[in-house]
Amino acid sequence: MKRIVIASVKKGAGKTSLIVGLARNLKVRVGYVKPFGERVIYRNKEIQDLDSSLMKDILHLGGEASEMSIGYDHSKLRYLYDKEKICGKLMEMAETAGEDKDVLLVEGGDITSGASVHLDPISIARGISGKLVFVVSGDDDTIMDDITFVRRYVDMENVDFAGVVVNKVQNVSRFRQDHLKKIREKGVPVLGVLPYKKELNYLTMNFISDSITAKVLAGEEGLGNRVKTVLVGSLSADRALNSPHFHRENKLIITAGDRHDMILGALGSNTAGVLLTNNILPSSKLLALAGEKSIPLLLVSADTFQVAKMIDDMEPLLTSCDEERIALLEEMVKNMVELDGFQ
Amino acid sequence: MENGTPDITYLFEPRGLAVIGASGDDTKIGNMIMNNIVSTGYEGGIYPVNPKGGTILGKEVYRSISDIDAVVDIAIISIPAHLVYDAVSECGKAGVKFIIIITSGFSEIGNREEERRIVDMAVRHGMRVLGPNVFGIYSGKMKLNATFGPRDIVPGNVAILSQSGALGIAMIGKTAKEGIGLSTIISIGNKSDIDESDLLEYLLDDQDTRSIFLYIEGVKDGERFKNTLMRVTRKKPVVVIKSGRSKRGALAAASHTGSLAGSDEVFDAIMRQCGVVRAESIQEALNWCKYLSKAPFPTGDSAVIVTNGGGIGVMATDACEKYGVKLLDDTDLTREIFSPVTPSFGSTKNPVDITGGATAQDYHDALLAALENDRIHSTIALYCATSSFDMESLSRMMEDIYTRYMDRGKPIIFSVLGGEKVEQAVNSLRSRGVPVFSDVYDAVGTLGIQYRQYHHQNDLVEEMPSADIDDAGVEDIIRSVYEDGRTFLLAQEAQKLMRACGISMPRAGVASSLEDAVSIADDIGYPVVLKIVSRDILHKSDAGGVALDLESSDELIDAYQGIIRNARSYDPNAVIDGVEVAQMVRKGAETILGARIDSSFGPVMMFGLGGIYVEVMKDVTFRSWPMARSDILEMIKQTRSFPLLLGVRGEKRKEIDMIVDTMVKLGVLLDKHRSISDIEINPLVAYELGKGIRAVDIRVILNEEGGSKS
Repeated sequence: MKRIVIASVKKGAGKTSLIVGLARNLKVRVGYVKPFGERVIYRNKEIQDLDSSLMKDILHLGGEASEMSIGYDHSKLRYLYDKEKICGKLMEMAETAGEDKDVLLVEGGDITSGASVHLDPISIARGISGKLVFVVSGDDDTIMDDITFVRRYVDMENVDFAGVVVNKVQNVSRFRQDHLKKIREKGVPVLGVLPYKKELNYLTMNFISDSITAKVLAGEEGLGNRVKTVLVGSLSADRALNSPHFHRENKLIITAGDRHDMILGALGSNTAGVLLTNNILPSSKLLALAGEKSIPLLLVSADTFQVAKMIDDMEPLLTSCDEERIALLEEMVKNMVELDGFQ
Repeated sequence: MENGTPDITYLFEPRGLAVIGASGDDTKIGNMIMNNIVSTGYEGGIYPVNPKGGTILGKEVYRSISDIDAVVDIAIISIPAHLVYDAVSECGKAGVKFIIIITSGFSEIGNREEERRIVDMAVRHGMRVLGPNVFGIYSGKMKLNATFGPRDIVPGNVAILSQSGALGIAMIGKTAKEGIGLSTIISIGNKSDIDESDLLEYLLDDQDTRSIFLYIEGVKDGERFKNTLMRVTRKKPVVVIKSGRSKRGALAAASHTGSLAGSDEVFDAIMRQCGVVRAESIQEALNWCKYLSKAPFPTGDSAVIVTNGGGIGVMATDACEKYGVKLLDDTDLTREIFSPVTPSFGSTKNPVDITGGATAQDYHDALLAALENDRIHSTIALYCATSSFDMESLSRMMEDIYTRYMDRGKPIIFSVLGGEKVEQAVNSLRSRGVPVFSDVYDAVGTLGIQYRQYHHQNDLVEEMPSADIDDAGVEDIIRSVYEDGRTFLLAQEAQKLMRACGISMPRAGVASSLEDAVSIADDIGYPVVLKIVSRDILHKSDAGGVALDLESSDELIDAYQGIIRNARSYDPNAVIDGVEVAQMVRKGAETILGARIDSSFGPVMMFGLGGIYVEVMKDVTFRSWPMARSDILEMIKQTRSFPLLLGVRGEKRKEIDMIVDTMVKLGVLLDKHRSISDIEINPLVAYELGKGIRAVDIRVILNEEGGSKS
């Protein structure tokens, strides 16, 4: 059984996206674990990693998603484990999850994440004797910096470094032409180059609602709406309605609950959802209108700036319902990644 | 300051007054004011001032106020705004006590600086300023109409204070038409110095004033206003119309109390608490004031309805229920009183139905019977126009009966329903001061207002409650919070504060690591609750920072990781001060108790249905602090969810007295430690009698200034 640890130099490089694409393409039996859960959701007394939950669904794995991670925060790992216990737990997990599988995909974090509790990707790869693959992304220069850094400074002793997958590249052919040779000259195999797709960055209203613990006031049927643009409704409704930004499709409007004019304008145009801040409830008429139009109205206590910042910082995480995005990733990985290296 | 503050009496009862800007041109305000003063018979000194000199309306015109060699208590200024400062300065040198600035063009258009400069200078000279932007003053006692409004003001016993000049002038005409006599009418304008409270101080002891109508748009010194109203309403009724409902305060997002305490809700609650009657319309306010200024007070609660129609009698009964008028409920007594004047097919039960065939004389006899009996304390007389209807004799009878009731000191109110003739008669009777209404609800509502005032004046004044608080301990906590550069308390500080007030909380501790958390939970015993403690996260639930009902260390470990991760994801820059581990409280009635310093009225208390749906249900009531225990109980009873505290579906009554105790503690805490601007317990869980209460979550916000009352 082959164990492959997928890591990155920085957060948000696209590890989960690659794993989803691999899971859909590999023609062998695939297992999955994520020893250090980071994208955490705690609900009904249960904690789990969102990526584990996604992979459990995609790979139709048995058991609980919570069993795919050893811990989710340093506090637990420090309290319950030392280095020896972590190594033991890691091996046990790899063996259990890899049972009856041909490939075990192990999702690591970025290169430093979990280092103090022995769950950084290098330690994991060493601990389970797995191959290590880095996902690197960004502009061309950043990618080259990251690859050089890994090659030059990361201690790869006792690590089976399989190579890199380059992700979110704006112009794939030019990248290949300009950089592939140089990367290979550094002794780094390139296992694939994936293009940037803006469709992969759209958030859904449901995801936003969950992430900021919003109350859904109306329009629940529209929670699957995809958000393509985010606008802060600070203008007067008159001016907003005359602004071209306001007429973009699938927009999310962030405004205070007492901006009835703005809410009304949003409900009358192509809007994915309205996020109401400062815990101010709009009138019942607007709630009814949002319900009729299936446009979600979400309510939060935080102020407009804070909410806008939270949404701006949000990673567009995949869920198993995101069939379109999953299919796109499947297609991209199939065409752009050397699958043989993974099976 | 060269002199002390003058007695407000001189504003209403001046010995002499100067009109600066007096004019011979009858299109000028200075002329209109002079004309009104001269023609209404004011007997004090009248001194027109104008640099041009000459005479106006037979009065010698002085070129400067300094030329007047007589006592001048008031100077009325009606000159262009840029000349006002110099004029006021001259008044100061001339020893004037009160300045009335008619001129507009000051703070109402943003020119605050000039207004402030004028007032500061006036105060330095020991003068007080009414206005700017006012229409003047009318004082019935002095036969003084120093306004530029209509001349013919009917003297009487209603005082009108108006922040709006235009509305005040309109009310002069309106009151004359309605036959309402005024003791005074005065506008307050920009309230640069003299405000409602100053004027109410005079009206409190003014023998000519029996009811007060106040039109206000905003309150300047709410605490003083409230305290003044509390004293005034103990002696005479005050009816208020307030317009201009403002937006919520800036702290709205910081506490439920703040966000729920819209300024109008607080104003309304405080007016009610002060015994002030709040009217919805000018007509309603004038109806009430007119009636209250004339009608004798009842000597008891028992009212009787005398009617010639069953339907209108039932309507009046419903109205009595609505307005809190208690009907005499002794059928033997009503039979004894009314059977001699009621046909056999009528009804001697209250409402007493003397039937549609009753004549004016029958009506007269029935109302007289009610007047003669001491166990009837007030009468509601209803009349529907019938075939036996003779409006002329009915009008005479009503006026006669009204006079007899007035002579005997017993209140009576009439409602007459019919066509055009009836309406004419109603208007005629009203103009002669008889309290008659076309609508039965208006009539009963007016009597209800009188009963409210009767109870307010007669109810014993309760002693204000106090509470033992460790003041030094409270100040220590506050000091340490300020020293840490914060204006809100962390969980452990809020717990200490509650302990200093003797408010019962669940056992709890703050953990700085998972190991600590497990240890605290082992000590407290499961189940426990975890809450994130962060100076940057006020709304813990919204940040996913709360985990409830954790029954084992495994559940605690998961929850600890979850809420730490949630908090970091909610605000990556948030300083996490720890995780509070608290005893999980048993289910009970969840209430919310709040106290905050309102920017106008000082300490304001809130009580309501608590929990996470506070802002959705909005089942909350407000009062101003201090208040008696009975007022606290009343505010609790006023919530829709009060039956939950009494016990529903077989549950027992909850610890209502302990909730009252806790409200007292919060009120005393806020009043004594003015560094605290907001304090809120949500939920405060009340259990069945004998099982206590628990303050589960506390939020305390300090003011930015960091000052303390003491």
